[in-house]
Amino acid sequence: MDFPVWLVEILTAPMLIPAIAVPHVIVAMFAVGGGFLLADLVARARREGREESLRLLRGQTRAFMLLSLVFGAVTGVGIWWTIGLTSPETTRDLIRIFVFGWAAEWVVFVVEIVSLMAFYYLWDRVTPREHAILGWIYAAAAWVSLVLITGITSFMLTSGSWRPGAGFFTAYLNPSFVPQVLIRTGGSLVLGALGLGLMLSLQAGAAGDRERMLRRMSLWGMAGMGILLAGAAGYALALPDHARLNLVRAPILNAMTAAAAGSGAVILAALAVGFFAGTRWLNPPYALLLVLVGAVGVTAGEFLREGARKPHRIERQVLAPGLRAADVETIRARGLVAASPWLREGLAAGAAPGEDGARRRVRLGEAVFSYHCAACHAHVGYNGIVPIVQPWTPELLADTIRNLHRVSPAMPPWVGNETEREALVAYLSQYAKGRAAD
Amino acid sequence: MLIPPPDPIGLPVSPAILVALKTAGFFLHALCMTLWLAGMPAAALLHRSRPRVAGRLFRAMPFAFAFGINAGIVPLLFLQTLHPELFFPATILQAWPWLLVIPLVLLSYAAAYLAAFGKWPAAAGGMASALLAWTGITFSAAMTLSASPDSWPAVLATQADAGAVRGLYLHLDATVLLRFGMVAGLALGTVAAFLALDAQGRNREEAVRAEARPLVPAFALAGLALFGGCGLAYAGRPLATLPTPWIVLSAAGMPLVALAAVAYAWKPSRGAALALGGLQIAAIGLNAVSRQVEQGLAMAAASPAAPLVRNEWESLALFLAVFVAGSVVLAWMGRVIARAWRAAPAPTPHG
Repeated sequence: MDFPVWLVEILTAPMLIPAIAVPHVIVAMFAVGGGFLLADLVARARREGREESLRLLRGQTRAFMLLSLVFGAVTGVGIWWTIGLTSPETTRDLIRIFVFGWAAEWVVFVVEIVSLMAFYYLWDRVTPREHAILGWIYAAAAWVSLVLITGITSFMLTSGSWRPGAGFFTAYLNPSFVPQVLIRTGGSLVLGALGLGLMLSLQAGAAGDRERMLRRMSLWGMAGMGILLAGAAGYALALPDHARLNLVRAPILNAMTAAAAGSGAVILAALAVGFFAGTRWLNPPYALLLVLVGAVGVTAGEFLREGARKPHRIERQVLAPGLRAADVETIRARGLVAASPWLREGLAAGAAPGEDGARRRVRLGEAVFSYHCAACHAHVGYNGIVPIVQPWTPELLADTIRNLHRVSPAMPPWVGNETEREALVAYLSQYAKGRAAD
Repeated sequence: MLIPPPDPIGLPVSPAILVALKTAGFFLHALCMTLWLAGMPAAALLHRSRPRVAGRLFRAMPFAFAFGINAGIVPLLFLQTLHPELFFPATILQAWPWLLVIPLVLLSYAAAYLAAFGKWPAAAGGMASALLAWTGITFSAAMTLSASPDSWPAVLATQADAGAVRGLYLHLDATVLLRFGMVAGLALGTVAAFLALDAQGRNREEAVRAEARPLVPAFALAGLALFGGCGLAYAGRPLATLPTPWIVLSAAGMPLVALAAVAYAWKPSRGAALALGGLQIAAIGLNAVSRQVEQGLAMAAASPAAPLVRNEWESLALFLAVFVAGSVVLAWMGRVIARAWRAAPAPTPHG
């Protein structure tokens, strides 16, 4: 409530985050898992003196470098951009708690960039041992950056025993940290195998080399799937009750759970085929399809992580309208307009000369909607409020708003005062066609 | 009063430490950012008339982007730590232009690789130059509006919709353009230094040295003119609150760079190139520090209260441990890279 609210029609502002985050997470996980696979495959090919494999791997490294350094790096910054614009209260808190975690990740990024560029550009110009070490340095740095960022994202789902004033590691080593590290590590190895498998399917080369490489990639991928499943089990145990309730109640999250499980099963089967049958099944459309299935799995996983958390942006600390959980009673007593200078000024800016009381009330309701509801509900579009309230009566509206957090575990408590609640009812009643049935 | 109140979490350590890290990060970012800001248009323009020099510039761009974007994270991270109450409202008021920075940088970075790999270099370089210039202006607008909370109510009055904001505003005024012009002037100096240092590299062909020689003073003098002109005009603006010693220090760098560039053109040598490079780094350093001093003063004056400091050293210790470990690894890689480059002529990124 301390910051202005950015209105984005149809999508809602916070939905811009997954629009950038999901492609980023897919590429970033590929950048971690692919790093391990490339380091391993290159080291083995050098040990066994297989020049054809090295030629194929050099081509893969070039594409890998472009994808991870250009798309991965910029979209990573993009996530940070969007969270600052759409959830400034949350971003402020996270940055002030974890600033040195992010700074440490920055150091690791530098190591990643230097090692990956050196790995590619100095391919034939350093000793085989040095080249192998450069590859493993990249893989290790990419994984450490995954671990560093996971401590921050997992804190948003399970804040554990952290309270304002508690130390960094109390927040960082939260209950879902280890399970999420396992999920992301395993998922990275799976995506690494799928991504490099796709590249291999596009490359012509000696059958024996391609065969060996694909079996090795499949082995890494299956190991990753094992780690992922262990992490998923730990994750299910670490989830807070309200998150578990969300997963059970929300149909979209049921569907995402099914999508994650289904894509995992398909990929595991495909990796087994890759390991036992070799390149016989490998062709670009099939490899691309598997990458897309992997992307579906990551998207579903990200949706589950974000959806389960609602209405908390940081569990038990920050709630979805952008307010501290501890401030709910104070704000309710004062009212949203009194508590938010931006809402007050924005409302005043929209006042029309000679406006009557009814019009003023609807306008107040619309402004309250912007600050209390628009983070999760567009008017028409994502979670559109108009289709939701269309069959309702004003009485049902009033009752639902009063008992918001009882209606669904994903909804925050109502934090406005009585005048603001009536104004919101008046505003939404414009769309409630159930009025005729009164 | 639209500035949000202080939050109960506060800063982990003293603001002085955070300001020092922010300044160091901005300096590293400015070294790379100035190279791409002027280097990319220079390469695109020189592509036909000075193909060797243009090629050298194009091939340096992916490295400048990789490290420049990475280093750019640091000052933004610490700015958001120190002044979230100023930075977030200013960027939300300009949400769409601010968000546009991400696809613009993505396209510019991809174009930089295209040009470096020899694919449509003039078109890719030209497009990247325009996008980078617009990105720079957007950054200047975001920082200027962050330091000008007095202007927020007027912006909100034009942007408000149902109490919220549409985020279509871009704070374009003379201050923003003059600040961008000063950075562009500095950037021309960086290109002059890059060309001199590159021309004096080991095993460099004579043709590259001949192409670069007249360009070095040309870029440096153009940079001095742009930097000086914009700086003089900026000095009278309301946000120009820099104390006099810092004005002198930040203004002194560019004339010395121009002199060193002329000396290099008169008698090119590795020593002259190193002197020019050193002076340009010093000029960027002084300007980076003075910019941070000015921004710090403006934002401290605008902030309603000093933030709480919780003196939590464990996370700083983690950062320092990772920094030391990372430095050891980087030093080893630096040794390997240097030995490889000494052993053979420079490769092309075409692999």
